[in-house]
Amino acid sequence: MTRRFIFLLVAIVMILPMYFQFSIGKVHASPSTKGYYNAIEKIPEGSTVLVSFDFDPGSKPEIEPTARATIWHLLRRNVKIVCMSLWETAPVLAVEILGSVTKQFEKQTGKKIEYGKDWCYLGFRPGKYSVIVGLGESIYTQYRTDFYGKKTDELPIMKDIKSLKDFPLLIDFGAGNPGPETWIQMATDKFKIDFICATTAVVEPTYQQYISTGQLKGMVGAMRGAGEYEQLVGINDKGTAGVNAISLGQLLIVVLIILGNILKK
Amino acid sequence: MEFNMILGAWVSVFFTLAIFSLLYKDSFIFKLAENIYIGVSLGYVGSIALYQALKPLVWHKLFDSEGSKSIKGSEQIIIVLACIGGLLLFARFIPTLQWLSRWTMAFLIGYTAGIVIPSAIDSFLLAQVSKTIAPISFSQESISSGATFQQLLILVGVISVLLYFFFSSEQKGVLIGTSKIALVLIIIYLGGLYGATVMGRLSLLYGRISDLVTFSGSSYFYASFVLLVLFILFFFITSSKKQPEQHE
Repeated sequence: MTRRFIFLLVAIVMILPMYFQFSIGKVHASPSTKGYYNAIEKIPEGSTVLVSFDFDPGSKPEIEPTARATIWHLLRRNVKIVCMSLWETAPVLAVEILGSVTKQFEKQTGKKIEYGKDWCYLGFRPGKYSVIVGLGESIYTQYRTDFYGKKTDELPIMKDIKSLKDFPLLIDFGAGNPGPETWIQMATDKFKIDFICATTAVVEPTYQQYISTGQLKGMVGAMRGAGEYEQLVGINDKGTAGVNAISLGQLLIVVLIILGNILKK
Repeated sequence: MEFNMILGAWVSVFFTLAIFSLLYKDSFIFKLAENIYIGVSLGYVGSIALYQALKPLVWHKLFDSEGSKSIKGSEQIIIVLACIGGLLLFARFIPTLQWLSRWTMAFLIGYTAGIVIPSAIDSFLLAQVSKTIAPISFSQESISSGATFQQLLILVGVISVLLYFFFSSEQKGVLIGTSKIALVLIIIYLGGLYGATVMGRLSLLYGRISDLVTFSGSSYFYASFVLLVLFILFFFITSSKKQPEQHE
């Protein structure tokens, strides 16, 4: 009975902020989130970045808000986006995110965003490490066609792109392996490409070491990080909304842990 | 709103509530949702492998007239050999031919080790060590920004934790002091990981609850409320039917 009561309490606490809009405090961006934001701000307008969608529906709530805000941020800065996936579960999520954000951006700004010219999605390729090694030699050996079957070398966005070395920045929305560590190991260190990532809360602490060494220029960790990043970009979406609910949920768990220890005595 | 969007919302709510129903008790509905989830996941991964891997990387390059012209004959031979290697993995299911799968496994292990080990040493070991042994800055700027403290903390942490796991000598004398520091640091790290995991799980819960709240609106014909009531009714009816049996 106690367990069920706790489940119900957590659910109520998480639902409340969705029906009654309130904030439990101002969100302050952490240095790693600022690093992520600054890395995108630093890219010259008109450049092309590579974005890898490496997550699954299980990690979608943690990574999707950052992915949406990042695509929005890149479009606002007139940066072209080449997307791909190392996870077979990612294509359906990537297509949904890219499609809805580009449409929303067109609607709000009135700017025409064209597939193949402003962004493209190359799809999934199996092979983890060997895919990245292949991309380092030539994009076209791995992706002769994009996700929709169009010839990659005929897409205007790919005109000046031959291999990974031609991207000034690499962004990974990664929930595990293959993910940020794989990119650091196989590509960004080797080709000296700036690298940033958005990841889940479970692996975020283990990736902090790459921030210290400079192998990662910035990182957005889970929904808390997404809320911070949305504030920096100046949008109010899922990340900002989620921070309040998650903060309340965590507060409840802290109270329950303390109560559990006191009551046991 | 389109019909398929509404149907998708109802299906999503049904399966979310069905999976959450385990928190109350195990039931036929939970098992149904669990099995459908496994089946759908396998089907999805299978179709992605077919259309995103086998079709563009094998079929297109070997059998499609346009695709096969774009690559050399030697490349096609490599693709055929790779396919044979892949098929050999299935030899594990035939006891007399099981040994054939070892050839492909040996190739995979050798190839992966060859690619991964040198780059892992470079990116994960040398990069970390070089940063750790970098001279500590005592400039006014570093001290005021906290960088000096961070560098000192990393130095103390690395040395003490390495000594803590140094099992070749007995933990006494100086080693006891460093071990205690290491133990505190490891506990802090594990606490941080636990906190991050809790936050991650709450994010996942928020994702589902957020969808349930969205689908509770009139545009989705109150899917969340209707199905929640039906679930409560289902559990009420099934538990009231079983009660007399329990008394017996």
